[in-house]
Amino acid sequence: MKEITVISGKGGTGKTTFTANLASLLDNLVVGDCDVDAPNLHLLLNPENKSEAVFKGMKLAVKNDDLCIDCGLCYENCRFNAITAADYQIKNLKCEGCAVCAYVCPTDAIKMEETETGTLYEAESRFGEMVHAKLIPGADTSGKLVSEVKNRASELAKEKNKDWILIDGSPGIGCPVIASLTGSDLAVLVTEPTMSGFADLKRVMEVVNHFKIPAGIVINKYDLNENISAKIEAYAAEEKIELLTKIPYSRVIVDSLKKGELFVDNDAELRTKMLTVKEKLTKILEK
Amino acid sequence: MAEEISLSILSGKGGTGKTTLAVNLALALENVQLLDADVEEPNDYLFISPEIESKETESVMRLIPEVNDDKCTACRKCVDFCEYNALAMMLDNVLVFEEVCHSCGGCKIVCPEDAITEKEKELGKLRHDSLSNLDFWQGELNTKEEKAVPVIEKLKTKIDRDKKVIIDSPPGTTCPTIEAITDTDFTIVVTEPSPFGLHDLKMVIEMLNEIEQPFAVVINRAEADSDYLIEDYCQEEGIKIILKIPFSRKIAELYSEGIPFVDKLEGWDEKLQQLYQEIREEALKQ
Amino acid sequence: MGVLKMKLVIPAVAEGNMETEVHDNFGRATFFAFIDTETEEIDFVENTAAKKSSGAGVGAAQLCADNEADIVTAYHFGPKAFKALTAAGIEVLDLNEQKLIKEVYSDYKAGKLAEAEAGPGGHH
Repeated sequence: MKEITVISGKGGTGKTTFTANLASLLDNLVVGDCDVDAPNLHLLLNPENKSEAVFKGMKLAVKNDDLCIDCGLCYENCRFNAITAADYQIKNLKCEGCAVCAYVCPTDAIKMEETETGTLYEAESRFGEMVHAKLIPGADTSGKLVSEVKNRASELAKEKNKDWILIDGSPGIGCPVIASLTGSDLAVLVTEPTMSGFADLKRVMEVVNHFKIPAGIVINKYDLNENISAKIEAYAAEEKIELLTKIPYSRVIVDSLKKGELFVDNDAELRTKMLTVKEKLTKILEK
Repeated sequence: MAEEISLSILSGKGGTGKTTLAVNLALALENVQLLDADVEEPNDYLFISPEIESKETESVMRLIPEVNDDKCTACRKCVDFCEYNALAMMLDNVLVFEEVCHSCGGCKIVCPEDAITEKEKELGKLRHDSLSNLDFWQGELNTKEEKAVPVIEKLKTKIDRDKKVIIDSPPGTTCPTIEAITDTDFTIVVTEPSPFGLHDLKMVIEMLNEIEQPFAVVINRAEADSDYLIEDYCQEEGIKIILKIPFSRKIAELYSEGIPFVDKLEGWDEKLQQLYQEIREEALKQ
Repeated sequence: MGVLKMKLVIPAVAEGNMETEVHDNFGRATFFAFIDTETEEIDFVENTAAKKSSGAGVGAAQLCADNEADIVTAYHFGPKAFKALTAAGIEVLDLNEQKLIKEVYSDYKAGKLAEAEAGPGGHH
């Protein structure tokens, strides 16, 4: 059983589209969508949700106004601007759950409560089981929810003796990306030949390098800027990242996406390209 | 002098065209400030000030606990109090893990021996470049740091209300985004005409409504055959679409080189200036 | 040579026995199996550190230290967990292919487990 995580550094490079299309070509698969802030994979895989679980990612301060004596100690000690000056109410969006206010309150008017910050879903897609999740707006701790998605996907894969776990990773370079990559056997980086894309690619490679796992690169819309594309190829060669494929700026891909369809179903050449990617990934993982 | 407004630019996901709009709008206007609040991966500088790292820089600091081993009695109150596992007690020594410390100051408060003090650590930086018509500020979070909000808060202290203010926000609906758009007069949500675009637009609008922020929509990569995906939804919800930037390979190519299209394509200067005026009218109505 | 009494720790997917599967994550393991190398008894401790929103590796390390672990094994140690465990004087060993607790234990006895290095930067 092998786990592949697809990341991009920069958003909008085509990570999710790539992941969905690759999923359709892998047999005996579990899919995990670790982009818990703005999950999109379900829009292409159309899974049917079988179960959902409330995720309680953090504690929030809750105040009992009956016990409050308006001393203002909570307000004075809060570092996050999470308590209003006028009437000492807690601003949930700002509260980071540090519990300092609860500690300093002389009348025990503040308690810390585990709070719902998102939902974890287990679903069936036409390519296999799928685990995905959604964070509530304003909630943080996405790293923890990402870990939940990964854990559940791993568990399912073991239970059902799957050959592949395919993870649509979090965008960016922070903790959710690290959580997306933990335990993976291979990282696929989907990038675009733009100045910003290249800059973000380098940033995210720093994270990938820590994991000492093999990496492969996909240059999406490569013919948009062949100059930068060539620079990315050179960079990949230097960093020993295998070039998996270069995908052209394609009308078929755009149109397929707009219809919620997979481009591998609509274009034989693109399908062949993706099958080559699958072969290369298999080879890398065999080593 | 006519009252200028501050506007924030937002999208549900990265790569939708937020930076494209922020940068080109800023360049089309006069007496304007552009603040890049996408502190995890700021990219506006590529188009505005590629040499930004050599310009004026200011540190954004945060406080980290420091334990005085002589006063520490290994009572563990600080370790047990910390909600973030930023402290551990190993062989009667308190270890501090700076990366997960939220700087809440709690450990210092609970220590019965006054053994904990705080020291400053750099969380991020603010960089500044002043161009002829445009005052540019960039916020950036240091690698390995996670707390974007304090950097964005510091960035916002640079806002000059005598100027037109544009804030390029981090994508999504989490706390840093909310911090970037709060206190701006108006928010522009950038989307694209696809199922992904529509899904993320709905998600962002839900958040904007919750915080009661006035907004309007801009469709990037607009195309005749698919704009309806966004237009139908906006019509149903009574949401205004104030601009469409067409799907254009030329614009995409210029973007890839770090060249703002407003410099190269006819008519966009006027369009964007007019856009600002329209938004200003909307905002002043609220 | 007599067997030194050591407590060996292995991240586990559940509370069970020697046949229980190893968890592939240290900080967010569901349970920790503690094996007394002298009596060969096995005990399970719940990983309460995993409940916190961050620093799971540190919390897990604290848990191991509080329960007097001498040796801790895992597939991957983030730099914080590594720093915490070594500060406590705990030996850290790498796992590679072992799927069940009993496999880890027999590999340990055969001296097959290598010393771990601090892994890649996990924050939470």
